[in-house]
Amino acid sequence: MCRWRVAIICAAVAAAVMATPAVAEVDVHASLNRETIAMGETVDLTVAISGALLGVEPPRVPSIDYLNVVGTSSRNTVQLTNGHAETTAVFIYELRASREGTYTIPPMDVHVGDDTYTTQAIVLRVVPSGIPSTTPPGLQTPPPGQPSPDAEPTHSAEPTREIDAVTEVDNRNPWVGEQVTLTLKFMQAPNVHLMGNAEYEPPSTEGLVAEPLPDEAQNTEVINGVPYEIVTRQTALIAPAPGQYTIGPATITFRRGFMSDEETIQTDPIALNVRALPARGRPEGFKGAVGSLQLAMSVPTNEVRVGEAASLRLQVTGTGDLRQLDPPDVVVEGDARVYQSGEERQISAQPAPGGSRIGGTVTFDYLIMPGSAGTLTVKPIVVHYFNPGVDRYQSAQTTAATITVLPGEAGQTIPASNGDELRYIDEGKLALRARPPVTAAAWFWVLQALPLLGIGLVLRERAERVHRARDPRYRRRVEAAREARGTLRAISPADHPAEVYRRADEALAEYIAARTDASAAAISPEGAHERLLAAGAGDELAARAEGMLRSLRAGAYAPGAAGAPVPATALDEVRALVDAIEEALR
Amino acid sequence: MRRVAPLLIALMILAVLATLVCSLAWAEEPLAQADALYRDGKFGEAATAYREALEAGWDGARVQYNLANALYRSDEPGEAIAHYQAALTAAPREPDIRANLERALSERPAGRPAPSASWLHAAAVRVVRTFTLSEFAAAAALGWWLTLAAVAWLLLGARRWRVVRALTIGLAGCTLLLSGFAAARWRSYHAIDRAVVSAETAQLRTGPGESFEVAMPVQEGWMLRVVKRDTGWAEVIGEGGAAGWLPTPSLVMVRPDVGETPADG
Repeated sequence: MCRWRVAIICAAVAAAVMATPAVAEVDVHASLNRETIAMGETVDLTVAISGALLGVEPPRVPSIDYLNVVGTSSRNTVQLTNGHAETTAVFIYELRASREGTYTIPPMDVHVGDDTYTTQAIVLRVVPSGIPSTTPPGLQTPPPGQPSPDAEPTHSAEPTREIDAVTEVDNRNPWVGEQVTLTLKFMQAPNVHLMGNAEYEPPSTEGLVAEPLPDEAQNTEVINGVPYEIVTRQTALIAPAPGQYTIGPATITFRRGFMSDEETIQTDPIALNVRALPARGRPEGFKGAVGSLQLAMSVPTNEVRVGEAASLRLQVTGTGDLRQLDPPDVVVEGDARVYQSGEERQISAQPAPGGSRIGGTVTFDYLIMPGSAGTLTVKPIVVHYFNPGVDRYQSAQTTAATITVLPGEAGQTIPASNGDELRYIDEGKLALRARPPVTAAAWFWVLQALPLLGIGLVLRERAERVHRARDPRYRRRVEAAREARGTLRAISPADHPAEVYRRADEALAEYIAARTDASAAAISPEGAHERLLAAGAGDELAARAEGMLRSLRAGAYAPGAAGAPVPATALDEVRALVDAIEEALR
Repeated sequence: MRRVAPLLIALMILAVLATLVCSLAWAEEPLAQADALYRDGKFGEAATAYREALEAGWDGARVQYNLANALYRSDEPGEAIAHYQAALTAAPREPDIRANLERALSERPAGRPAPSASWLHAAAVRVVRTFTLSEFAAAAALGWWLTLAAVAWLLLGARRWRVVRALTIGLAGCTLLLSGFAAARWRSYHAIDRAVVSAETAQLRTGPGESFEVAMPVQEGWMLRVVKRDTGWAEVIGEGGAAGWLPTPSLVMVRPDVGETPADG
């Protein structure tokens, strides 16, 4: 049963392959890799039959006098594009001429199965050896149906004057994005001498991207028996859009001698017919790349944690205007997001068999941010491009890569990127206006200085306390007024007048004794007078204190005697006297 | 005349009230319009309205946060991160702001900033970013006052001298710690210019000009400190210590003059 299934599947595949050429459109196309060759050189005649692989018979090259087939080769290619198989059979004939002149290769019959197809006629020009072939390798004659390019250069490569210049292009009918090499040749006969260097004004290439090529060369070539000094300068031109373009004339200005007039040589303008890229065979995802490309992908680490990024580097190398190359899409299967983190383009003229070609390397860097633990698969990265060398779309692709994602620290995960998880705007909780921080306000710093002031006061108080503790006389002196006021406050005017006078006398005497550093028992009215005078209280206060002491003592012994004050008044007067002395002795 | 006087007084009171209400309504109008645009899903227009409110002086956390949301929804994550940070500077404990900032950071190409390798440093960073400078300053000021009060108590001869001395040392330590946090907060959020890369990609160069070499490419949302500014260029130090110059049009400043408001303010 199993064998039967295998047999049926094989038969179906074989039928599909067999059916392909029958239903595909067959296209037959002949071309030369160079339109002009020198004597002794060979040229490749290529006959390409696309859309067919089976039943193709090798075409026969018609017999042409003095043009011989010196070698043959063939190859078959199958290209899968969008699931559609495109088959091409290519037959290459190496031709060599044994005589100069212009040869016309007539149409050739190509038999595919029961059908016969015919190629177009091709013209080959063979020039004497020593004159360079004007069409470098890589030139493609247009396929049938396309406008035919002018096979002749606009200005013959053979000089017509002692000093001459010509401009040539290697392809007048390029594709969009395909490089056309513009060559300027400045030819100078050996018997001509110039005054200084010739000035070169490049041709206008409006609408075209121009890139000078570093192939400026100087050599000697014998043309018609004359050894010419030839300076060659090349420029790569790339058309960004289909249509008609004109390369303007290049101008060279020089003088033959000091007294001679300035001479100018202008080359002929050249018309370019730029073709749009064919719609046939254009793969889905084609982004306009033209050239010949290769891809290389590297993933430095195959194991990351959630929250870390894995890097991926993609290098695109090849020929073509890689400045216009869009970053390829990187598709990762699994819970991860991909960001392009950088790119670097190194574009320069690359040496190639037919002359310099614009190309280089473009490096795209990507970051892969895993969202959760697991395995990520980087799917093969594909870049579709149109290869003008073979006039068809091709693809370059990488292999797949696998990245293992380990759980992050503390099980960190990245929230999914659906917009509903964003917290909603605030409509009233937060403040509308911001206030500057308190540190920006002067009052804040002033406030911080206040505790320092308090500490100063505390230190002073502490020093005072220490002083009083260490010096009893000082303490008695500074505390005298307070003690006296306290004693006087404790006396009630309602007490017996004799008692009031006695206690007031004691308080005043004790105060004066403390202020004058004496014993209270030794203070008599006269002694108080003298001591206060000595202490600097002034005669009036000293006399007043003496009088007060006399009155109080008189009142203590004879309260009702004439001249004794009323007790309440006496207390007030004593208080006032203490205050006055305190003020005077401060 | 006696009947007219109360009427006139009532009319004057009404006029004053109406003026107050109108001024309040006018004050809320820019945000009300912006909020309505946001609710309608017109995020680009809402962002413009919030910006106008910001320019008019409504620079509180609410405007910064709502503007950041509108920018994020408008697919401008770099500028959104800058405004989330400004909002978080003003209201550091607001969970919605922090959640949305974390989300924006996690979705940028560089991902979230790597946590500190040292747990002590990480803890200190967490504390510094949780409180405003005013809160740290007020706490440090209180500690300062209490410490000096305890010192005064000691100087004047406290009875339980050892206990008061231990209390004083403890208060002084707390004050120093709080002052350190305040200084760190000031240095991190107020003393330096912070910025965020708003261009999708930009080239960090070794000097202020296109002619200088590219040090490294940077992506949108990359957070950095601005060290110096030259004509059209800014010298920056970015995440991971990478330093170089970036063109100023590719940056959005995290408003250096942003004030702060308590989250419940």
